[in-house]
Amino acid sequence: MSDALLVLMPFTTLGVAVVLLLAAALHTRLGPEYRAFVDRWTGPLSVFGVAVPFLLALVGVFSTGSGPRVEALWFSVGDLDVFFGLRLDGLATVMAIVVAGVSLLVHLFSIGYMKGEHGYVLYFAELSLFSSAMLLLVLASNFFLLFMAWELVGATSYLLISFYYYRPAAASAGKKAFLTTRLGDLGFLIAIFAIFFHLGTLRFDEVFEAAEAGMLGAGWEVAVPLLIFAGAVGKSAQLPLSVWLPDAMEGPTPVSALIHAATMVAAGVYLVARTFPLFELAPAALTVVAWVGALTALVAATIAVSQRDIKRVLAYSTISQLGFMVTALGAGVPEAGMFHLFTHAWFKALLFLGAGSVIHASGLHAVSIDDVGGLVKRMPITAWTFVLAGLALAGIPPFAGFWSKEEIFAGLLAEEPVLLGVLLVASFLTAFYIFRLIFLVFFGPERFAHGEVSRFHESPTLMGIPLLVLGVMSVLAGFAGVSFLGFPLQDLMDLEPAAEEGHVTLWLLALATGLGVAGVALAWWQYGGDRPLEADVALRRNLGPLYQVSENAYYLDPIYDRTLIGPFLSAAGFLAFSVDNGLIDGAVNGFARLTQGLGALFRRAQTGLVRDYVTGMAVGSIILAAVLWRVL
Amino acid sequence: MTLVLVFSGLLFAIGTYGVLTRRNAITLLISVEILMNAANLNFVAFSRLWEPELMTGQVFALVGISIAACEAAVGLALILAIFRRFGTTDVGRIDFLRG
Repeated sequence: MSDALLVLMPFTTLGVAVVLLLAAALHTRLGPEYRAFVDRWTGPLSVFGVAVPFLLALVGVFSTGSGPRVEALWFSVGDLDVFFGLRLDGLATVMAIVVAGVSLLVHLFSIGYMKGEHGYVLYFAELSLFSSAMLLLVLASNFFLLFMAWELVGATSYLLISFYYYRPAAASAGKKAFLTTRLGDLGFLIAIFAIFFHLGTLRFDEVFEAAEAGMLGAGWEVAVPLLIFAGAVGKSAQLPLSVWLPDAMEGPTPVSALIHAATMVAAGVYLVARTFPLFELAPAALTVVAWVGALTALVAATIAVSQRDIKRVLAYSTISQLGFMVTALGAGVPEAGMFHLFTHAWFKALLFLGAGSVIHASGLHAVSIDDVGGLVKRMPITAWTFVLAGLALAGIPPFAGFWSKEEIFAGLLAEEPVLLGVLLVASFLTAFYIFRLIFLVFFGPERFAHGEVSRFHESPTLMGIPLLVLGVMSVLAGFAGVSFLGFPLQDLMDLEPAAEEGHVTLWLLALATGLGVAGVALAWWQYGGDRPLEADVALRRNLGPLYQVSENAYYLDPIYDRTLIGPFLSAAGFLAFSVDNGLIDGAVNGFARLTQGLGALFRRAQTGLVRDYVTGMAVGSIILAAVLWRVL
Repeated sequence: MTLVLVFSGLLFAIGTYGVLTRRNAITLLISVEILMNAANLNFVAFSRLWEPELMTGQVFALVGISIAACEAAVGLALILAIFRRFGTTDVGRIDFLRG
């Protein structure tokens, strides 16, 4: 693949986004026949915009050496030369296939899902804009461009989460997502400053080389990876910045599938994998990464077991699975983490699109387990592909998630038995919560709380195809990285592991599979009967406070409200109403009042009568004459 | 010499008195003319006393007279305008510029 084609990857999508933005802007001014024309071609055009980079990424698999690259001097400021550099190495290829592939299917799905919605063209423009930013992030070959794309992704995700901007919940969810991730980005930015200050360059290759030569110095050697990880924690919704992702479910469901399952949240994992040479230099930083990941995996899994909204279950599931990947990175087996990212993207996108299919059929804005049940007969494609993805998520062989989780477990086995235990518990819970959802929504007696259950029909073909494709991927994606095929995916990524390569042992295989099956079985035992909802109520009663803690997500939001947001708001209120209104405005108004008072005093001298002025002149002259007399 | 100075001082005093006490704008203007003539007289007198061969003081007096003529013209025009605007030339009643 020639280097010039590389530029096409982000910029085809960006070009489509620009065209669609213009079309969206002109939309209301066009006549009806032109408007119909725009509406008809919006979908195909945006699909084309992501199909091109997807095909190019597939071609990239077969490129030799370190892959195609382009680089041009963008601008220079003092000693800083900023390059516009793109590079499609093995790691970027894998990520680009995930990003462009899921994006392509989500675009297809969206054509059906968003049909007739307000802002249809704008939706596709924003979706394409997001995809191009994400591709730029994946392909960037220096920190500057990466950070720019990183922020672009954040901004466009804000637009998409708040797509239903007239709903207050959606508007504030967008703000929350943006601000929370910004908190992590600040750390990332400081890390970039430190890198440039100490190493004088921002290109990945040169940075890694210089850092390995020890040019960062002892303190920054640990601080820089931790600060970079802060950015990843924000984007990948790890503890303690995980609170934005569940709220981000206010966006359209295909957006959740694209951004909050497969691409943007995975960008944090990708960032750590991309800058892994820096992490290798600091074992302390790696330990922090591993523990944050493992805790997130466990905590999010325990929250997911009690959520009622379908998309919220999936959101916490995503946080938990990202925790698995981060743990793998921290344990020094980045290729296992990236492998899990690769498989997870397909089956989690499928779960979200399946949820979208149900929501679309229900006509509601969000669907919870209280609303629907037993949909398998009315929506067979949605239900059975959902089950496939559920099996992949639960880690049942031979589905995709099994292989990648197994790689992570194997990587932890030798050196991190505690982390392995935490992840095994999380894995068991994963199997339980996803099949709880499946049994409640798709099996058992048919029910619909808001009307006739007969309104549920299988979604149109255009929405069914992406589901089927993703279903196939949920089964097959795992084989891209299995040992008996010679680890093709890992070979492609060519990451240097920091820890010793783990080997899958038979007892570990059996244990992980057993836990997965046990989770499914427990879910079947609880929710497989004729009255699944009543079973849930009983469980809630029996578990009492434990259930409460889980259902309220460990009270993280209220705790943040009390400890951070509340004091911040009162401090802001104090500054606004006491300091600004009182002190600063008081001083300004005080000066105005002083001037007014003095003016009122002195205006009396201005009588307007000529005689008074002349008298003044005469008296003044006499005084002046007297003074001169004295002086001379 | 003393006599001339006493005379010009007297003229100045009369002019000042007129400016300070008169209410009619035209009288005011005439008083100002008297003041200027007192000054002109002093120019000529001192010129004669110290530098009789030069005519500096006389020239100053001539310039002063021409300026007085201009001033009278402008002053009268102003008074005319004031009369048209306010219907009076009584300066005690024109306090348009009071602060």
